[in-house]
Amino acid sequence: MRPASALPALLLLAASLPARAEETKVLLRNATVLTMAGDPIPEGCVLISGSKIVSVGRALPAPDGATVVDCTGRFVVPGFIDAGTGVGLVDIDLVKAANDADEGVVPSTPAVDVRDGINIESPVFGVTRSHGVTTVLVMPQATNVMNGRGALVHCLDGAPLAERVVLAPSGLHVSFGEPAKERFGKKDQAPATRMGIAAVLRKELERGRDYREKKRRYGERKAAPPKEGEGPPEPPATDPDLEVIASALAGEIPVFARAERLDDIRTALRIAGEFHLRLVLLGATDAWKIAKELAERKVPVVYGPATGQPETMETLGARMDAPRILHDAGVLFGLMTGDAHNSRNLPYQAGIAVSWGLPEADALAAITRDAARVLGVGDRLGTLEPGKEATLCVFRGSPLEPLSRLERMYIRGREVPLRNRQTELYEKWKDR
Amino acid sequence: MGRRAPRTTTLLGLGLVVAAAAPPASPQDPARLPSDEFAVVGAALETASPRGRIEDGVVLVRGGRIAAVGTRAEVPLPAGIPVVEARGRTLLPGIVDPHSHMGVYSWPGVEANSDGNEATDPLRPEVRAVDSVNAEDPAFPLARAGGVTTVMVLPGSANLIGGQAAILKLREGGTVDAMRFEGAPASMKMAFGENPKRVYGERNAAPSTRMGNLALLRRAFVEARDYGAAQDRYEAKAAKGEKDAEPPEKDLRKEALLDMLRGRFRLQVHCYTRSDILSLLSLADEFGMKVAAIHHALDAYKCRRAIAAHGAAVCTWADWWGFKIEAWDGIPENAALCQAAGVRVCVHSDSSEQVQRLWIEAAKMMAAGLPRPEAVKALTLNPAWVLGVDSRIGSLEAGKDADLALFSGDPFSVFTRVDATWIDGKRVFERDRR
Repeated sequence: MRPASALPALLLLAASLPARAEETKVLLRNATVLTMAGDPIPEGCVLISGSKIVSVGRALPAPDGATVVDCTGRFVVPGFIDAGTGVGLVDIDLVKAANDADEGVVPSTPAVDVRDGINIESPVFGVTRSHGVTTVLVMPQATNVMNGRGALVHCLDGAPLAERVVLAPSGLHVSFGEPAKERFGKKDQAPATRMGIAAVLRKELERGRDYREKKRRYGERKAAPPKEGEGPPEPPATDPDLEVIASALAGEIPVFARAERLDDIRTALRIAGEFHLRLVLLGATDAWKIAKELAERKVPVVYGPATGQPETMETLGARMDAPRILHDAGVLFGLMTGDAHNSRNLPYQAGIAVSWGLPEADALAAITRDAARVLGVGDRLGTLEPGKEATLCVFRGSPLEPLSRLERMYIRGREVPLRNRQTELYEKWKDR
Repeated sequence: MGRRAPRTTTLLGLGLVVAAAAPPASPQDPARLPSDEFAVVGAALETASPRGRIEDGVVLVRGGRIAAVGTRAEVPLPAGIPVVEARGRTLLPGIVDPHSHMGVYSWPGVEANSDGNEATDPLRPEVRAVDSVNAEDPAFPLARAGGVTTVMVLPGSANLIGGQAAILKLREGGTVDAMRFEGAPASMKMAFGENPKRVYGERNAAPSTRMGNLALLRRAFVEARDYGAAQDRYEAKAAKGEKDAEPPEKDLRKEALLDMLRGRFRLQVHCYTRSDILSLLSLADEFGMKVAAIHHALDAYKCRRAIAAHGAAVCTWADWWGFKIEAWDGIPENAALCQAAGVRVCVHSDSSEQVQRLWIEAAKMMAAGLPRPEAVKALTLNPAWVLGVDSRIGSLEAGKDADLALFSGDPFSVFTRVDATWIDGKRVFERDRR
C-alpha cells in the first residue's frame, strides 16, 4: 500500500503538470512487447494514458489525439529496476563533499533516511538511464549495523525528490559481516565481531519492542475512562530512531539485511524469526547454498552484484551461476549492482547471468517484475499491464545486450530525454 | 590412462568434437593431443590482422605456434590431424590485458595479500612486480576462463614511479617463473594526478600537489642523468687506462631511472585528466622519452590528437567514471574518438573481476562508435603492442604463438561465453557445459 508520506508527492505531481497532461495518450505500435506478465506479444501495442498503461495487446486502435510511435522491430519492456544502489548519494566516491552514502559513525542509525541525502541534481541519475534503468533503490551504505532507511526513486532530472519517489521509506537496512566489524573493530569499539553485530541488533530491536509496548500501554490508558483525580496519561517521549525500529517490528516496513557469508545469512534469518521481521536478504553471495530453504520460507532476495567474485573473505562462496540456482529453486529475487555510477550496467549483469544458465525471460524479470515484487511495489511497477505505471523502454535489439540501443524511455507516462552529462561532453568534444 | 582414439573424442564436457581429418590416419600419440598439433575448424576467425574476419576458417597449430590461418579452401588439413570442430563459434587471438593487478593484489583482498604498492617512497623504479606476484591467486584461472592469455601485471599507482611490470602468460603450473613472457621488453609503471599526491599528501609528505608530482619526477630524472654522466666519465677514463678512475657507487634506483631515460623501459603511465596527460607528454618530450601507453586516460578524447602525435596508446575501460574527481569526465565514446584520431586503443581491466569478461567492455566501446575490427584489436593486437610483444602474439597469423580464445558465439554478446582457451598451443581452459 502506498504510505501516507507519498501523498504530498502525488499532489505535487498533479500540481506541476498542465491539467490536460493527465489525459495525454501515447500508443506504442508494432513492437515486440515483453509484458513480463505472460508471453511476449509480437507486433504488439501499448497504450498509455496519463501516467498509466491502459491497454496492452495486438492491433489496438489509436484513440483521438494520441501520439502514435511506430516501434517496428523494437522491443518494449518495463523500465529496469536496480534493487540496490547509491545513485544520488554518491556523485564522486573519493570526495567526501560529494558522497553522502555513509552515516555509519555509530553502530546504529535507523532514523537516517536517504531522502535527506540525495542530491537531486546529481548527473548520475541521467547516466543511469542510458541503458534502460528507470528506477533505483537508493540505500545507505552498509558501514554500520543499522544503516537507516532506503527509498525507491525514479531516475528523473529536474523534478523535486518527492516527484521521483516511488516508495519511501522502502525499508530499514541492516548489515551483517565484514563492514561494521571493519569500521568499529579497527577503532577498538563494539561491534568488533559477528556476535557483537548480532548483539547490537538484538539490543536495538529490544529497545524498539519496549518502545512499542510503552506506546501501546499509553494508547490503552488514553482510551480508558479517566480515573478520578488523575489527569490525562503522559505520552511517552518520541524517539525518531525507535519510531523506525517500531515500524519495522510492526511489519510496516521490511528489513533489508545485507549478508554475504552463509552464517551471516543464517544469523539474519534467526534474528528476523525472533522479532517477526519482514526480511529481505541483500547481497546474499551464499544464498545459493540454501536456495531451497529460502524458497520454502518465502524469503525474497536482492542478489548482487551478479558479477560478484570471491574477492573478500565473506564472498569466497561467490559463483557466477548463483542467479540460476536461486531461480531453479524458486526463490523470488531481484538483481542489484550495489553501485552508483555502474547502475546503468544492470541489464548487462542480467545478461551475464543468462550466459551462466538463467533463462533470458527470468533474467529480465529479475530487473523488472521480480525486482518490483521484492521491493513491495509489484502492484504498480515491473510489468506492462493495464493499470500499471507507464514506466517503460523502447529498445532496438535485445534489451540485455550492450550493442542494443535504448531509443525511448517513459517514466510515469512521460517521455524522458536520454540526454545526460556524458552525452553533453561528447557533443562538446567530438569535433574538436 | 587408456589410449584415446583420435577420431571422435569429445574433449571433456565441452562438446568440442575432436575428429581426425580424413583420410583415416595412423593412431595419434595421445600425449600429443591436442597441444602439439591440431586444427580449429569451422569457426569465424577474428584475426586482428589485415585479413580481418574469416568465415568458416581454419587455424592450424603446430609446436605451440600458429602454422596457418585461412579459409577451409586455403588451409588443407594434414591427414590425421586432430580437429576441434568449432562451427558457429568465433575464434579470437588470446585476449591481452595491459593493466592487471592479479597476483600482486591476490584474492581474497585482505591486508596480508596487499603487495601492489610499495608506497614507502614516491619513486620506486627498482621494485619489480614479479617479486610480489602470487601465482596461486584464484583470479588467474578465472581470467583464463575469460579467454585471457597474456597480462601485464603492474604495481599500483600510489607512487610516481611504481616499479617494473611483470609480463605474464597465464600458463598453468603455479610458478611465476613459468608464467613469465620470455623475451618481452621491460615496462615501467608511472602515475600522474591524484593518487601520488593523495597518498603522500595525507602523510604531509611530498608530493602533495600536481606541481609536486612533476617537481619530484624532474629532480629524479635530472639526478639520473647526472648519474649517467658520471658513469660515462668513468668509462671514458677507464678506456684511456686512467688508473685512478673510480666508478660512481652503484645505485639501483638511479640505474632504473637512467634506463627509463635511455628508452630501455616501455613507459606505462596511469594518467586521467587532460591537463595531466598534457603534462606527461611534455615531461616526456623534455627528457626525450616515449610513452608507450596512457592508462585509464578518461580524458584522452579531449587531447586525442596530441596523444596520436606522441604515438602513445590509450588503455582504458569502456565506461568507468565518477569514482574520483579525475574520473569525472569519463564518457563511453572515449575509445572510439581516440581510435578515430589515430590512437591505438586497448581495453584494460585494472580489475580481477572485469578481466573475466573483457569482450563485454569491448562491446560497450563498439556501442559508442568503435568499429568492430578495432574492437577486436583493442582486446588483442593493440595491448600486445603496448607490451611490446605484438610480433609474438595478438593476432591470428602464421608464426605467432598459438594463444587462442574460442567463443561460444558472437564475441561481442553478453550471452556469449568462452568455450576454450589455449596458450602456446596448450589448452589451459575448457568450459564445463555439464
